[in-house]
Amino acid sequence: MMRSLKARIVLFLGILMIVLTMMISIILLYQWRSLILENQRQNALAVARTFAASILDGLIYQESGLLPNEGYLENQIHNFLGKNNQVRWLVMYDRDGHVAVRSSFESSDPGDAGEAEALPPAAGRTGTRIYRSRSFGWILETALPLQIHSKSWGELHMGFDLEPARARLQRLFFLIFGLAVLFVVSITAFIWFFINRVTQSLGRLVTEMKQFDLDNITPTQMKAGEDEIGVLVSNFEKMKQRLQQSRQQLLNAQRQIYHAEKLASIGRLASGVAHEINNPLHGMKSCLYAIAQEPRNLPEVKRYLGLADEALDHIALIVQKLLGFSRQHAKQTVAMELNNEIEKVLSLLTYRLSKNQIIIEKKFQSDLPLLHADPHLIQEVIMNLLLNSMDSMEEEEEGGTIRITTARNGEGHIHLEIADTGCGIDSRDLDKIFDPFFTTKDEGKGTGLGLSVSLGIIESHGGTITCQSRPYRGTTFHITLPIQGAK
Amino acid sequence: MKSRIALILLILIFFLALTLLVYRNFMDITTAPDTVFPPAAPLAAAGGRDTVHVGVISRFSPNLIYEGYQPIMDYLSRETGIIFALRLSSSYEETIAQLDQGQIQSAFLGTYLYLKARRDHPIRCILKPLNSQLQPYFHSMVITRDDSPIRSISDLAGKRLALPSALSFSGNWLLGYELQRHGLKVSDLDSVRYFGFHHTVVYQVLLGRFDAGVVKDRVAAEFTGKGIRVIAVSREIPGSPIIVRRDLDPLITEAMVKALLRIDARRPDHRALVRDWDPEFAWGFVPAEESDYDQVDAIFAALEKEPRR
Ligand SMILES: Nc1ncnc2c1ncn2[C@@H]1O[C@H](COP(=O)(O)OP(=O)(O)OP(=O)(O)O)[C@@H](O)[C@H]1O
Ligand SMILES: [Mg+2]
Repeated sequence: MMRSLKARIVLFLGILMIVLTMMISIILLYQWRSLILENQRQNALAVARTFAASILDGLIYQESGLLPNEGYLENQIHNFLGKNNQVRWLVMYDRDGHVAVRSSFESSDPGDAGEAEALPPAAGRTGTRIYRSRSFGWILETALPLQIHSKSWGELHMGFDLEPARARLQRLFFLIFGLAVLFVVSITAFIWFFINRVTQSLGRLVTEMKQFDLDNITPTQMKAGEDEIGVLVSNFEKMKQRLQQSRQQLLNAQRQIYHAEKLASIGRLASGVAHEINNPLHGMKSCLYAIAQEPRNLPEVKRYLGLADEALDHIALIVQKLLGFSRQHAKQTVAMELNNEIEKVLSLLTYRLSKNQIIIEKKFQSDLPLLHADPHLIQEVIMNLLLNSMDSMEEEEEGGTIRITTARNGEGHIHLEIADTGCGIDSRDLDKIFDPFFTTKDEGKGTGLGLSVSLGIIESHGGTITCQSRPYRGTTFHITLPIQGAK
Repeated sequence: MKSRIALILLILIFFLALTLLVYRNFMDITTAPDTVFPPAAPLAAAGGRDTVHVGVISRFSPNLIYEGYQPIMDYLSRETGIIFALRLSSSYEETIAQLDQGQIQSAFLGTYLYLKARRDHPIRCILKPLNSQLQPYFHSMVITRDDSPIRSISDLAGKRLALPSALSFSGNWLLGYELQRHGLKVSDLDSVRYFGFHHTVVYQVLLGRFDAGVVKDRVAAEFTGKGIRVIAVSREIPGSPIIVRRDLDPLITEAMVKALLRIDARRPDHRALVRDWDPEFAWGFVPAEESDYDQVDAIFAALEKEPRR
C-alpha cells in the first residue's frame, strides 16, 4: 500500500513535471526561434535595403546615361557578394520581370540555380520567405522592389544563408532539451527521495502499530522528527502510554470490584450460616436451660434432649451442605451413563413424588455416550433441581409434571433439561437464584444453597447451567456438560 | 511491477516521440513568402513618347533626389494625364545641355542657376515655390555661432567663411554683393570654402571650423536657438523656379501650372499629399514672371564686373 502510494505520487508528479517543462520549453523554444528568425529577417532586409539603395543609384545613373560602363552593375554585385558571404545568391529583375542580373557564384549549375530558387517578381512588394534550397541549404530570401514612389527599376531578390542561424537553433534546442531533461530528472529524483523518506517513516509507524501489543507495551523505537510524521509518532507514543494507563486503571478497578464482591459474598455466606445455625443453637440453649432447671425430671429431660438432637441434626445438615462448596474440586471423574444416574435419583424420590401426585416424563436419548464426571456430584445436582421443582409444585392441588430430557448436543456435549410446571420464578429473582443463601422459602425449609452448590459442581465439570422461567407456568433448567469432562 | 515498468517505458517513449516531433517541427523554419509592405502604387508606364522629362541636378545620391522629386512627378502625372519622368544630371552644364538638346522639357533650377541660364538659353520660368510662411521668396542669412564675437558683416575681415554650392544664390550673394557693400573684399577674408549642402555649412560653423557661413533662411531657422545666431539677412529673393523650354506645348505648361497651383498647403489632405516632397516645394507655388528675378539679376551685376576670389 505504501509503495503504490509512493509510486503513484512520483508518477503523477513526474508526468505533471514533464508536461509542464515540455510546455514551457516548447513555448520558450518557439519564442526564441521567432526572435532569432525575426532578427535574421530584419538583418537581411537591412542589408538588402542598403544594397538596393546603392544598386538604385547605379540604375538611376545608368538610366540618365551617366554611367558609360556597361558592366557597372555586375561589378557592384560581384563586389558586394565578395564582401557579404552570407548572401548566397542574388537575382535582379528588370521593370518587365525579366532577369537582368544574376549571381552565378558557388552553384554547380550556375544557369539554373538562381532562377529556380528565387520567387518571381512580386510587383513592388517587399517580402521574405525561408525555404530549403537544393544547392545552398536553408535560405532566407528577401524580395525588394527597386522602386522610389511610383518609379520602378525592377526587383532585387537575395538569398541569405540561414545555415548558421539554423545551427544556432539546433544548439538552442539541445540546450533547452538538455536543461529540461536535467530539470525533470533532478526534480523527480528529489521527489522520489523525499517521498521515500516520508513513506519510510510512515511504514515504520505502520509496522509499529501492527506490532502493538496491549499486554506488553514497550516504548516506540522511532525517533520523532520535527515534521508532521514526527508529531504523528510522538502522538502515537502518547496514545500508547495513555492506553497503558487506562488499562492499568481498568485492571485495578476490576480487582477492586472482584475483591468487594468476594467480601460481599463471604459476608452473605457468613451471615447466612450464622442465621441458619443461630436458630437451632437457641433451641438447644433453651433445652439445656430447661434441663438445668429440672435435671431430675427424666421424661422432660428426655424430651428436651430429643429436641436438642433435632437442632443438632439441622446444624449438621447445614454444615454438610456447606461442605458441598469445599468438596467441589475434590471430585472423582469416572465414565458413567447419565440416564442411569437420573434413574437412581428418581428411585430415592419415588415416595414423595407419588404423594404429591407428580408425574415424571422421561425423554431419554437411549444411545447417549458415556459422560466423564463425578456421579455423586451429578446426582446431587439432579437431586437439587428435582427437589426445587417438587417444592415449586407443593402448593398445587393436582400436582404437576416434571419432564426430564437428555440428548446429545453437537459433537462433544450432553444436554440435560429439567422442566416443571410449578410456580415459576419472579423475573426480579431470576438472576439471584444462583447466589448462595438466596431462597424464597420459609425459615428452616430452604437454605438457599442448592442452586449455588449445583452451579459450582457444573462449572467444575466445564459445563453450563441456565434457567428459563415464567411465573405460574413453570421453570426449565438447561445443563450442558462436556462428554470428556473438564479440561 | 512489470506493468509499472511497461507503463513508465510507454510514457517515456511517448514523450520521446513528442520531443522528436517538436524537434522536426522546430527545425523546419520554412515560411511562406510574406509581404512586409502593402503593394505600392501601380507602376507608371515611364519612358513613353509623350513623356515630359523633368531635369534635376543631382549633387548627391540620386536615390534621395528620387525620394523628394518622384512624388511630384507622380502628382503631375496623376493630375494632368501626361506622363512626367525625372531625368537626373550630375552638373549644371549637363542639365542645360539636356534642355538644349530637348532631352528634357522642364527642370528644377535654383534661382542663381536660372538667372545664369536664362540669358542665353530658350527657357522660361513658370512657377516659383512658397516658403513655410507661404511667401514666394526666401532669404539668405549670414550665421555665426552663438558665442562668436562677430556682430555684423563688417566683422568678417580675417575670418573663415563657409558657403553652400557656388552655383546657389547663397553661395554668391555675400561674396559677390554684400561684402562690397560693407567695404570688404574677398581677399580680406581668411578663407572661403564651398560645401554641397546648406546643412553642412551649419555644422561646420557649429563645430567652429568656420567663423561664419551663409545659408537659406529655412536652414538657419532650424538652428537658431540651438547654437546659431543670424547676423545679416538678404533681401527677399524669389525661390527656385520650375522652368520649361520655351517651345514646350502650352497645353502641357498650362496643365502643369494648373495642377501645381492647386496645392494648398493649409489643407490637411494636401499636407499629406506633399509630405514626401522635397521641402523646398512642399508649400505650394505661385506663378513666376521673368521680371520677378530682374532685381536679383541686378544684384549680381556687380559680380560680373569683378571676379570672385
Ligand atoms: N424449579 C423451581 N421452581 C420455582 N422456584 C425455584 C425452582 N428452583 C429454584 N427456585 C427458587 O430458587 C430459590 C433458590 O433455590 P435453592 O435450591 O438454591 O434453595 P432452596 O431450595 O430454597 O433451599 P435448599 O435447596 O438449600 O433446601 C428457591 O428458594 C426458589 O425460590
Ligand atoms: Mg433447593
